[in-house]
Amino acid sequence: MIRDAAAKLVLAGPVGAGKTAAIRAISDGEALSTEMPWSDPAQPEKTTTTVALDFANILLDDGTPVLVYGLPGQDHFAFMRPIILDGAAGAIVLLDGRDPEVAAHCAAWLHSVASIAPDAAIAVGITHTDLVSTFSLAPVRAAARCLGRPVPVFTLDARDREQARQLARALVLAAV
Amino acid sequence: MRSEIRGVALALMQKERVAAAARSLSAHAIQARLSDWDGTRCDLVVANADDGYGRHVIEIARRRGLAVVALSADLGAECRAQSCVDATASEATLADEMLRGLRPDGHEVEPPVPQGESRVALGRVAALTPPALLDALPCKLALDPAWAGQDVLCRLDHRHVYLLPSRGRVLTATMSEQLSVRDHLCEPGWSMRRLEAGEVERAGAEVSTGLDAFLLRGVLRGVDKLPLFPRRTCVLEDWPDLGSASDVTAALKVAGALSRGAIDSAALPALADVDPRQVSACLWAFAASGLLKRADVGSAVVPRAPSAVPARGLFAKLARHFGLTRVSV
Repeated sequence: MIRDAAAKLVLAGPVGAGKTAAIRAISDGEALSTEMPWSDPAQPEKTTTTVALDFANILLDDGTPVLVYGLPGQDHFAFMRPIILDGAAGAIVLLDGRDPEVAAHCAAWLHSVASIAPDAAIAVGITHTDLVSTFSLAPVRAAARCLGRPVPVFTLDARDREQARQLARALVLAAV
Repeated sequence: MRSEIRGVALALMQKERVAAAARSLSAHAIQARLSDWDGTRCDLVVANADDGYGRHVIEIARRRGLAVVALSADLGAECRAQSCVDATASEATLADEMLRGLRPDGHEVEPPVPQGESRVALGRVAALTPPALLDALPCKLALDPAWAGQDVLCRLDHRHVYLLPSRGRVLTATMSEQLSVRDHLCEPGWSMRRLEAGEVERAGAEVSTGLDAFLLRGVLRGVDKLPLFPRRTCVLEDWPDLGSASDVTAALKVAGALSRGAIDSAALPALADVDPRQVSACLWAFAASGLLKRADVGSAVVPRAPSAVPARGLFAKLARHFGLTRVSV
């Protein structure tokens, strides 16, 4: 288990949701990524994917380090979830708004995160929603409500530093 | 109803809050005019009771039988007996006291909402607010049961916008039209009609963004044109989608506080550490998007934390890091 004195935040979610981009946006300095070439006709603009994990660091004003991990999205890396999520203070679930099954993915990932890290604050981000004029937030909100506590659900562009930080702020407020 | 209010020996900040409170009385159909005390006829005196001149005028006003709101930093027993208000009282508190003075018999707490009723109702506010104020689109969407929570097509001059609370989205034909709509959201003259099934898909409006952030930005841009949001106990069952409103951290704090349980809206500025007019703008936006639910007056809870932002521990440090609070010393 990855457990030490430092605090831990984890970004989780399916392939192509923008976890790597979001980690780069909210962390200080360079992020360590394990990206490999990727080819999927359904996502022609996605050329790489994370195969082990992403890692970055946030240094707080009193010198406290916060370790930021990104889970690989593929199902065959599911065994890594308990390893990385264990002891996390907070988790951001990032989802791809182009996916017609986004609400089902939301429910599954929230369940997965909450079962491994029940005390972690949770926030949900949905990307690429501007590309789907029929996108609806309602089913995702309904899925998030099933967790039984208020969960912020935001649409965002994960590449936008300020929007990614906005989701991180919501995570902080959800922890109060 | 027109009312003449006189201010006496008010400090600059007090005067600004009293002026804002006087303006907000328009939500109760009171057109209040605030000016300095000059001894002439008036309906209400708001005076600084910590000042010698202020106390002198308070005595005069009481002899004349005028309504008085006395502000004092020292709320001792004697002062409380004379209905003093804290010198640093918020605009909402001042407005409440001023309303009580102007309408000693008519100022009542809103009756509780029956259990199970979730939609904000037009109620007294619509009955008392000048029609021009309620003509603003956010007010119609927030307070009128005929429109609240409905998917609608809205038009103002050449602008068209589809507001879809059922999806949490706003659609326009072009991005420039969406920006134009947002900038004119608080202008009077909007027309609305409910959407028919499948109409949005047929309309070809392709530019889709989050409704809540859109409404928030629009209301913030025109907040001076709206009355203060009526005081009520309210709650958010879902967080508003504020992902693209990354420069409005105040709205995050307000949403965070409201998502934790029913709260008296008058307590929100202190709880969220947000300016009352910004709180009001957030409430208009959240209500217009169909997310803000009205709760039973008796159900307001004491929040688990005294502040909307964590005060200690890792998340307090993260709050500072991400700009939710000022850096502590």
